[in-house]
Amino acid sequence: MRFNWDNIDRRWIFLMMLITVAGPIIWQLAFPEIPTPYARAVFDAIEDLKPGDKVLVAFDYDPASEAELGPMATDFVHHCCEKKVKMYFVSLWPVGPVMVQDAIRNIIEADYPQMVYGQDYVNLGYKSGYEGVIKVIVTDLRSLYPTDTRGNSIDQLPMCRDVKNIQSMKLIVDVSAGYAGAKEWVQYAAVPYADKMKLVSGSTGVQSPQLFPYLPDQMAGLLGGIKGAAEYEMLVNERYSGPTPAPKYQEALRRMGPQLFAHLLMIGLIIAGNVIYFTQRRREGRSR
Amino acid sequence: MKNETRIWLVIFVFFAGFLAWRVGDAGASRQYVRELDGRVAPATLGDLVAGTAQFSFSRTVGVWVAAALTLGIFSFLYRDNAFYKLAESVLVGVSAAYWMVVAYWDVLIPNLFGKLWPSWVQSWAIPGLSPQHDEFWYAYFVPLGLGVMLLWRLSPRGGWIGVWPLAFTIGATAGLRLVGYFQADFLGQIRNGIVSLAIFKDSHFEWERSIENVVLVTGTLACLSYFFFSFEHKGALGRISRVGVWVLMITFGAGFGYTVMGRIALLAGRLEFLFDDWLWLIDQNHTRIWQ
Amino acid sequence: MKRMIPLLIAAMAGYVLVASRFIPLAEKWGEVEAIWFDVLAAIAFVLGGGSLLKLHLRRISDRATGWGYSAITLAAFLATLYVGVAKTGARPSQEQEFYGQSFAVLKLEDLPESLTYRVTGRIPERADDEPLPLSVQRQLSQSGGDLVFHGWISGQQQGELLRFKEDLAWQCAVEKLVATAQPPAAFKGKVTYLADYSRLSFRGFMTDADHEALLKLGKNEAYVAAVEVLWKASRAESEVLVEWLPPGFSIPAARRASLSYDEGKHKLRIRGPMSVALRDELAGDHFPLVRPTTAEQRAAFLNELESHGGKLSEVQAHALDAVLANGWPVDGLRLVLDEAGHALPAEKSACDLYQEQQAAKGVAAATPKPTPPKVEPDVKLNDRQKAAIDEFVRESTGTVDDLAARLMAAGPFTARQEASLREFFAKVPTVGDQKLEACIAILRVGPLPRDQRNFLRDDYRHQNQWRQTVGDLFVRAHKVKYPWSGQYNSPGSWFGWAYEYIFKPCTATMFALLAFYVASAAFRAFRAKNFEALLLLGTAFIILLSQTFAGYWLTSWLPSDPQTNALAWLRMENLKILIMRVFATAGTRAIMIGIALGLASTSIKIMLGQDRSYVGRD
Repeated sequence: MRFNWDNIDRRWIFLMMLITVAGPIIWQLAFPEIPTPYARAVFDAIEDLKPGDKVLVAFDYDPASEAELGPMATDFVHHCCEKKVKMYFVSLWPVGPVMVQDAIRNIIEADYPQMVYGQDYVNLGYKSGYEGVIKVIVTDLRSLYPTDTRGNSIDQLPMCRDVKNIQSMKLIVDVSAGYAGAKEWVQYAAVPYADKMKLVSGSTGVQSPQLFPYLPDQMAGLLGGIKGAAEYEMLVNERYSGPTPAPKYQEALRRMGPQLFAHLLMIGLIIAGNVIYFTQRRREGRSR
Repeated sequence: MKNETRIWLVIFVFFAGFLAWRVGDAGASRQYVRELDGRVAPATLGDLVAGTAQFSFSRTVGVWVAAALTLGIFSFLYRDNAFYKLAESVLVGVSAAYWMVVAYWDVLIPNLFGKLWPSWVQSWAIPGLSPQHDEFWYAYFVPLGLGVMLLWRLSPRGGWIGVWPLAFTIGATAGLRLVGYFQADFLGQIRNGIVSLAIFKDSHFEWERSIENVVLVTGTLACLSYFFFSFEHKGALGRISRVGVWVLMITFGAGFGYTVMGRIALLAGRLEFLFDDWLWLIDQNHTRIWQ
Repeated sequence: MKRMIPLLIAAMAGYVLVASRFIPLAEKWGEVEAIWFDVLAAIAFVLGGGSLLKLHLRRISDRATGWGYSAITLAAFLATLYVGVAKTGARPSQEQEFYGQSFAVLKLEDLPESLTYRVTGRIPERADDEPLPLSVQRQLSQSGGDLVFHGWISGQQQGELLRFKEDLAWQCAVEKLVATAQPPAAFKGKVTYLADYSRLSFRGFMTDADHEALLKLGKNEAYVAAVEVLWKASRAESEVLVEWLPPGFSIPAARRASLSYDEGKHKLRIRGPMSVALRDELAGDHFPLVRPTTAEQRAAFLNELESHGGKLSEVQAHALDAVLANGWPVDGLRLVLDEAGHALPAEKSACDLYQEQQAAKGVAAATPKPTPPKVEPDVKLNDRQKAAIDEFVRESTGTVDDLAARLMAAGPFTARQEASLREFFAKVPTVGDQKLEACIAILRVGPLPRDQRNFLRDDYRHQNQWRQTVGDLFVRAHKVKYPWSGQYNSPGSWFGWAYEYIFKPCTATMFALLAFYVASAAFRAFRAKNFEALLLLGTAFIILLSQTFAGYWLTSWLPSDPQTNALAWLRMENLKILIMRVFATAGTRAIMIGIALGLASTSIKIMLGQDRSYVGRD
């Protein structure tokens, strides 16, 4: 059977991609990361917080992006817990509260049992309306969030009693997969109230390039995709987790293992595609 | 029997044997929970090591269902087939219902019915809600009315009534975005784009940063000139817009690089589920040291 | 007219939101409109579900191609909708279940008159015209020069009233009201009235004396009926079979009225509901706590462990030692108790401060100045108490109750010190917990035979079994108050199952398919046909390489700091920063400015009524 390079069945390419990504996962290959200034800016923004500072943590993503954003969400919560800040979780995506619950269970309840719900962290949940939600909560939190996800009146929670709106938040940490997400937080919170609110964000690889123009004036820091997450994770682990961090705090680093081989495959495929194309063109030119 | 069918049959048989071995020998895909005070939670490592965790049939079945659906969707890569269509149909149904349920419990109950009839909502759904009306609670009849009109679109007759809430949504979106985009994306970006073209630090001219800023400003202007179609792109404007095209190509190339990384991360996540949670070929979070 | 009204609605909606951004007076209107927008967005989800239902029902009824799949879609839709709306399998919210309390319905208007309290005072007005907090609006009123409160005031209501206005006269009045509007001393802490819930509540087991005293408070039918409901509920008996009892277990003396253990039938019984504190007390207090260990004690433990199976490897022995050495510091405990023994500075009440303020103004005090509270001296641990702590450390058994009793017997020991002692030991693990932790630490670095594993985990298993028993009794003794209050997507709920095992994997896999297509597209479509395409591909290569360790490795031989050596800009990670910070930012910025202008123009056209596409044709 002669292999037709000119018209290769794309399923062979699918198989190559599958093997390239599956191999490093099975053999658990991981590589060191070098933090960039962008990851460092995000790290410093949270590191500069003091215990008791209020931080709004927005999980604006769903299972479709969880593989890319889950690790950075974990690291954000981990870092905030180490800094002993008060975390107010919200979400502009319907599935966001489930991600928040997972983070609370896997990180806060598991590793920081001294933190008390309602005093140190609260899950306010999801409200529909995308940027309309931000528009409301920058001036009045209670009108949209009379209760948290557990049905507690917001006035019953000690950490919410003196919070009229999110302008009292020292920092907004947003994990964003698209619309509504980081861009909306910039447009409706960080820019109109630039003197009061500071924003850092982690976003998907698809969205990250669109957010670079906001740095550094409108957004203090940005984690671009799983790579940004891995860099940030390294910084947090170096500072707080010692030489052997728990496996759940190394998820981004693990996910970078397949990236190396897959990226090399992509480059190889592009080069191969071009070689085949130009060879074919030359052949056609000669035959004419 | 066609060759292709024969090959797939062999693959299925081998895979079934492999699955049987993983399940029978290693106990793969089993899920354990801890039930305490009438509440169920995933078993911790301590529970698993101590042997106090309880086998969860529903979660184990769930892992198999998830794996089957995952493989069904991946099968589309080979060819469109019934397994894929089944998975897709289930996903469409479950997603639509999921969003409806979220809207109902997270928004309509607390933020609409809870404002109009707070004592009723408080008595059964959200005990922590105050049973007292807010000051201007009757204003919530407006979204209720608009919502009913919106749902009228489902009716075979009188669908035009749904235009009113649609107009409200479109008008509100226009109003919200006009200011938001203008402030952050227009004025804000112009402000961000006005940078020093000659930077001095301690009387020392900083070459790299100055060149960067020059390239940034000229690049932005060149790209903007490319999008300016009121004049024909020839002469000086043509040359500048050509430079703009080059800058845009670099932008798109960078975007492509980031996109590839994002997609591969998503694939890695799914494969981790299959190899870790389902087949127990790897133990990334060291949760099976008790085995 | 039919077309004009939607245009007007769209225009007004837009203008209000724009105005709210620039005119402070209009800010509230913008907020209200945004809330309407948010609610309408939720109703749009319902519309989406309805549309899906309509579409697929039509396909099925028309027997269109693929109608079988439509049937599957509908079945999945309806099943998920049902389990989500009905919250099937979802447990009630823990925060709203009021464990340990029995509830009886009692409306505010049915509260006996004897539960109305008056103190002198005036409800102040606030500069922002904010009314009284919602939680007190129905119960607190002004009658002449008196504040009148109907019912018993709770801690939360007290806090909200004190925060209502920063005025000493008001806060003094609130303090007096709080002191007055409380249940009789005989059942303070047992009985409460929750106005927002319209519930009379009784905590724990109701004795005959409590019952009679409560009936004396009021005679109206509704109140008496509520007390009878509480009487019955607080004496309802629940029991659980005990498979394993902690050695030396006995019912605490204070709980013997409600708790009992039938040795013959091995049943633990409780009358009335069980509170969380009682549950934790029963579950936790019968197991030896970890003590600080010496190197000899740890070596002895290692020998004992090895006698059950075989020698541990060096790494495993080291891991075990690290866990066993992780005890609590004796000096730390002494410090905590001495700190707790410091006398607190006498706090002045709002009334004290108000009287001082009035005195400073020269206004004669209406009542004589109260005597300042007596300042208690500091209480530090004496030598006998320190010795008692050392003795506690040396013995392997002995509970916190024993230690507290010994410390009280050995010298002065305040209530604050006892509370600090209990708080300290609440964080100390039991011996069973520590042994399990040791088992995990050893297994992380090597295998362990079954017998050795059992040696390390048997204590924890017994502890867990007892905890489960107490937990079972806790659940049986509890009457669910708000079955619908739980989260619809909580673990254990059917909706949560549908999310975890259907929605999540399917959504994630759909997007994971893109990785394959991006590879295929890259191979088939990315052609360097001209300079622009070459730029795009070249940039893509640089970004792809620089995102991975390969890029770093390829250029690691170059200088690292661009500030000192320009060649450093050729390192992959620096090239990536340069591309993103300069070129990509320039390109994206231009696109964003263009989009912003286009969006502004479209928005203005909508608000001016020039864009009418959404209205449709006549």
